[in-house]
Amino acid sequence: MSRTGSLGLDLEILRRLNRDRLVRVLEDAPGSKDLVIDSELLKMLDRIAGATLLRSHGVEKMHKLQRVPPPVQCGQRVYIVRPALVTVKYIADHVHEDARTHPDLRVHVVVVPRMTPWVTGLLEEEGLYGTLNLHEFTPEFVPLDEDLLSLEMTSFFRDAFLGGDYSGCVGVARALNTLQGLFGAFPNVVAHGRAARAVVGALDALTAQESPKKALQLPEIGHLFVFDRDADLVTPLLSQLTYEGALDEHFGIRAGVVELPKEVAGPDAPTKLPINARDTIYDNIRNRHFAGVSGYLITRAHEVKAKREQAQTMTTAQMKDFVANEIQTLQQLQRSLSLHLSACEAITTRTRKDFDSQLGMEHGLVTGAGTAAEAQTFLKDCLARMLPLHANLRLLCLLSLTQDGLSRDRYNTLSQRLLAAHGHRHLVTLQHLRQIGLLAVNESFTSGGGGGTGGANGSGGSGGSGSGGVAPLQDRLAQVASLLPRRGSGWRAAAKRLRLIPDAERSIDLHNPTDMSYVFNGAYTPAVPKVVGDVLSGRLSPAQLQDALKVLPGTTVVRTAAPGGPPPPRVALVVLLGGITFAEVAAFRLLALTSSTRIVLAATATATGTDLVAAAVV
Amino acid sequence: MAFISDWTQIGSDVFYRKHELYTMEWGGGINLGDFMVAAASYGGPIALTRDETKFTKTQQSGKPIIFVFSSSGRKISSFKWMSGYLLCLGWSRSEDLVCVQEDGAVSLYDMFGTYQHTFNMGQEVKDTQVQSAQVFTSHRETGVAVLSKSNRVFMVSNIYEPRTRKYPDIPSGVVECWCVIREERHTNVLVSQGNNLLLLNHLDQRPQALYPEWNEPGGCIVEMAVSNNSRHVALLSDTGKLWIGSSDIRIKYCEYDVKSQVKPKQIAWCGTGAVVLLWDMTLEVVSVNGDATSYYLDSTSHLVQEPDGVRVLGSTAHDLLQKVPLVVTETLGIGSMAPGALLLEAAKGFQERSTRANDCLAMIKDTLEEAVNHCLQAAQHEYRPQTQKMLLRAALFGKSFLPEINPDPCLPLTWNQLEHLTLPVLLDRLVFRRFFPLALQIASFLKMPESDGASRILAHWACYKVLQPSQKSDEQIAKEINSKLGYTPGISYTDIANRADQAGRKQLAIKLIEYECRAKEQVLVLMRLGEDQTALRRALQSGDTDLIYTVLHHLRQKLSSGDFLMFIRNFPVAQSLHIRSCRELDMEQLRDILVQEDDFHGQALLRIKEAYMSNRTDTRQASLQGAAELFRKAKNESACQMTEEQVKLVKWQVRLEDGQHKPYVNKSLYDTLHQLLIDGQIKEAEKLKTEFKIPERSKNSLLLLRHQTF
Repeated sequence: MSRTGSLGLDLEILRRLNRDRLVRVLEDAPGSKDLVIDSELLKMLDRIAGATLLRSHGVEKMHKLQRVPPPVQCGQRVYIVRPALVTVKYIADHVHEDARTHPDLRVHVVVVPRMTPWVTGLLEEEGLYGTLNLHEFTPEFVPLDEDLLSLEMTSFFRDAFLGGDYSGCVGVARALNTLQGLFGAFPNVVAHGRAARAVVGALDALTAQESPKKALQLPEIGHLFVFDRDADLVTPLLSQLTYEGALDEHFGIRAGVVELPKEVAGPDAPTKLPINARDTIYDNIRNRHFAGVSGYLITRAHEVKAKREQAQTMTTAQMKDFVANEIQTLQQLQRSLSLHLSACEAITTRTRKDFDSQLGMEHGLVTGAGTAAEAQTFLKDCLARMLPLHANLRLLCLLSLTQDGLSRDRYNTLSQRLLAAHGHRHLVTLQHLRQIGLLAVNESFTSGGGGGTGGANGSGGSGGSGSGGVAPLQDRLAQVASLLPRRGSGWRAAAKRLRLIPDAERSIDLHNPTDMSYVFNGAYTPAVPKVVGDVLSGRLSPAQLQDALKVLPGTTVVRTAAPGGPPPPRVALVVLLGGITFAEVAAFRLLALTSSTRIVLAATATATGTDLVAAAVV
Repeated sequence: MAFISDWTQIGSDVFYRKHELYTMEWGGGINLGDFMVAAASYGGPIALTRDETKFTKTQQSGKPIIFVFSSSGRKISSFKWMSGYLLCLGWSRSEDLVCVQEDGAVSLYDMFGTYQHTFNMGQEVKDTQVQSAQVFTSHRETGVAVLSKSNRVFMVSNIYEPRTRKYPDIPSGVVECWCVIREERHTNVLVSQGNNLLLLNHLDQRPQALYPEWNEPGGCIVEMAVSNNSRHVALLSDTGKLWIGSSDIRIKYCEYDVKSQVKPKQIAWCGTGAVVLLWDMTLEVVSVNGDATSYYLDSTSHLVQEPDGVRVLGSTAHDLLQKVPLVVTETLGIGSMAPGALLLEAAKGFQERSTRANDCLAMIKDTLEEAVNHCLQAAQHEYRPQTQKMLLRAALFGKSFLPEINPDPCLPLTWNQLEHLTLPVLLDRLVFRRFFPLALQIASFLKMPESDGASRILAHWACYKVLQPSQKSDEQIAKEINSKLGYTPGISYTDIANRADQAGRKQLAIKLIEYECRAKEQVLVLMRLGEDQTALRRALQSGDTDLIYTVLHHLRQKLSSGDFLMFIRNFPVAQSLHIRSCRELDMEQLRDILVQEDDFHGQALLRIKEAYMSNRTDTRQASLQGAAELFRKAKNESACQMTEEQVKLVKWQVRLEDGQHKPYVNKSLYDTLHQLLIDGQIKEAEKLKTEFKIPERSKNSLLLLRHQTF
């Protein structure tokens, strides 16, 4: 599966921007220094700057941020952290502790991506405000691959969709503005969802501040799409079936790096493996349906073996040529092949024996072939078998979403079982899931003000405003989180309107796919790639689009280029706020091929359904 | 040939011209000899104050008055000097009046006599008192140097960032004269004492003696002057010899005998090519080659050194003496055969319909472009509009066009000075003089970009406007300003509003800030003005979370907790953000909100969170019990029931722990059952299953798990 070559968009420039910015921050603490890094940021920083670069700017030692302060070996220490309560507390403890033994230690704190007022407030409370040197490091999009950008804002989903804190949107807008500066303004814009609107609004504000000269630049990116993650929550909840998706589900991919356990990677090989298009083997299998991957790998392995065997019978001259040119590539291929084969093997053994029935259940829920009662029984079994919390929550949420909310009875039964299996504290988790909209309870309307304290329920927080002061806060919060009708018309209607469920009669070729639904065995097409595809192909006109997107929660902004201008370049930038799954990435890659458009994906982070439900877990 | 009538030849081919810029509007009544005079360079304002040293001290003169005039002698302002003994006056690069007192205090005033600020040259200066002082300007900064009565030099090299620097001690004895030589990175001081010439450098420990090469050594230097670019220096000895050379004293350009035993009043450089000596009635110009000429003056005058000339300020007239630029000499000089001159001739011939035009043009056919350029450049260097027009007509005749440079009536700037200053600075200076319309005209005439030109001028105008007392209502003024300014890029309503606020016109400031489009600036000003409600509303409109937090933080500090919570109740978005920050930081505050809102469900969930934060079983049980109560109040029966079950489970677990000395409390129900099954506690397991109604199917799954565990 080769993709359209890079159409002039030089995304490498982003890497340089990030490097330069990081260097500037490091040079704000001139001389030698030790780094203490928030473990959440390790991968991203790794991605931005290698050890040599850090060393050349005075970095001596690097430590992970932990409760215990690292040894003082240097006159300066630089903390690079997210603005989080726990990180600030750790830093404060470290500083207080070291102040006694090393009064001369200069401490710098770099907050990624932005300093927030409450962090300064907290530092003030700790009496440290004046003694620390505070900096900010706002990264641009990190190019994870030639078509995938990420801001690595892993907490965006939680902040925005659970906490109602949309401040991350400003950071996204800034990063988009940089792209705008590099590649010209976006002539066509489609944004859907609350966070997406905030991003577009902030982007407009930034554009307005700039000199009008910029507008003259010819756009290199024809379309900008911005979607909130909650436009399609079903996709992340379904088990991913592409190789890349499976790697993410089983081992976790962070900032384009997969961390393989020792037994997979081999005893001497590095466990952290950057995965991208540069590995040709990987490039060929990443988007394949998992079922076809090992077959492909074995074929390739045979080829390599054959090549090697040829070498046995070579003349001296041929051998010379072989050694000079081919042997290295072959060795590389072989390494890569064996690694991916063992990863495949590991995934297969880790996959539960009843994975097929799980898959059947998931797909049955989506297509409507299976009933909620079956799923409930299946879920109860899973709970009784004490499967991991995240797996159970994913299933519970999928059940709720595809049924457009659970009945009160079913909710009570399942939540009681869930608490029995995983502990009572998850009563709060369930509440959080409901706030995000991953879980909903259908109340019968006759119950009046009775049991309806659940907050964001399936059919919208309509009751809140009437009762005024007595309205429970959760309802008021739900109101806030959806100043406009938040829930669309329910998932089922949306799936129908956007035609996300392919015709069951049509068979899908999983190995040479032509339809994006191959990522879920032909049971479901991820909504965002589907909508983008429909817009790019012209199946949905701007007016139709506005109408069609009404079924999704949130509101839409659509802007089209002034008529009469040159046709926009066939390059689309798709931004997903709250994380993108590799299933969607694969679908987009297929779309890029079939629509001969270059599609660059940009997300706050790459994510799986596990990451989403984990945002709710206390 | 009227346009070269004021030229004087010095040496073989160098001309100097002296022409009148203005007849002084102050009339002839002022005898500059009685005054301490300070004039800013680049045609800046002139400050005068009565020179106390010229009068006997016994004369009981009250506090002196400082007058500020424009270069044409129009009075700009005057103010009474209220501080100590005034020693020296000078002007800074940005045209602030610098006043140095005997005790080392340096005060700054703007040209309208408005006090700016004061700094001090240090305690030592204060103790020893100042003997003499100099205000000097370099390319970027303005500095002050003082010589204390204890023969020590102290210097502040930038008056806007005063840091006093001490120079090495000068041996005791009378200092004849001294001057400041600015170099790239450091500033040196040249001191004449007795027969010695000393160079002070703040890096060295002691002064360095210098030996200029005199024809007859042994004189004592009584006066000295440094050129504007600090490269050249002129020294005058008590024997009347003038030594001109490089500022490091190594190279001597010439030595000239002024043939006068009277010490001149002033020495100054005229550009870099000549030194001007001023006596009461005569002016002598000595070029660096040793050629000289003299002028007679009709009144006591004062010299103002400019980078390309020297201004001679007299009681009745204000003249500029400068070297005629080469291009002008070539174009206008008599008998010149330079292309420019021929083009000019051709143009004249053309007007007179003479064949001369043709002849001259034929001679410069190949250099026509050069000729046009020369005419244009010459025009730039000319003052008289007629001459300029004549030259430009010639240039036009030579088929070209470039915008005419508008000679500005109130600022006698030469072209070179303008290039030095750059146009934006010129506009600023006009603005400081409150010539707003003129500045605007120049800006639009020169087609300057809006942000540099028009909008900056308008912003200044607006700031000035809000300070003027007026009959109009605040609303009207704000509207008026907005209608003039619109939303031009580069205009900051924040600045204007701040200015209004400083002037004590809060309402006007509030009206003005309405027009600010940058939300952040707007909100910050509104908060400062105490308009909290509006500030919060605007912050919310902007959607910038940081900004909202900033306002919330401000409000929390300002209001009592209860008032604060009531205040933000009206702003749901702000409230939700506050709740979020509480969740991170402040549980108590969160509880207060929930209680205030009668949100039992929220309180219950908060209780549950608290329960699991504590490791003490009894606290946890209490919290859970409380949560169950609250769920009941919230009419959430299922949650209430589940919580009560949990309380019961913990009781069981405590009992199990006591019996088996194994941890149970943090386990879930199924985990507990699982553990019991692993341990073979079949009886307990059975009891638990019945008590908590665990379905058989689940128990069997757990049993299966047990087998897997083994």
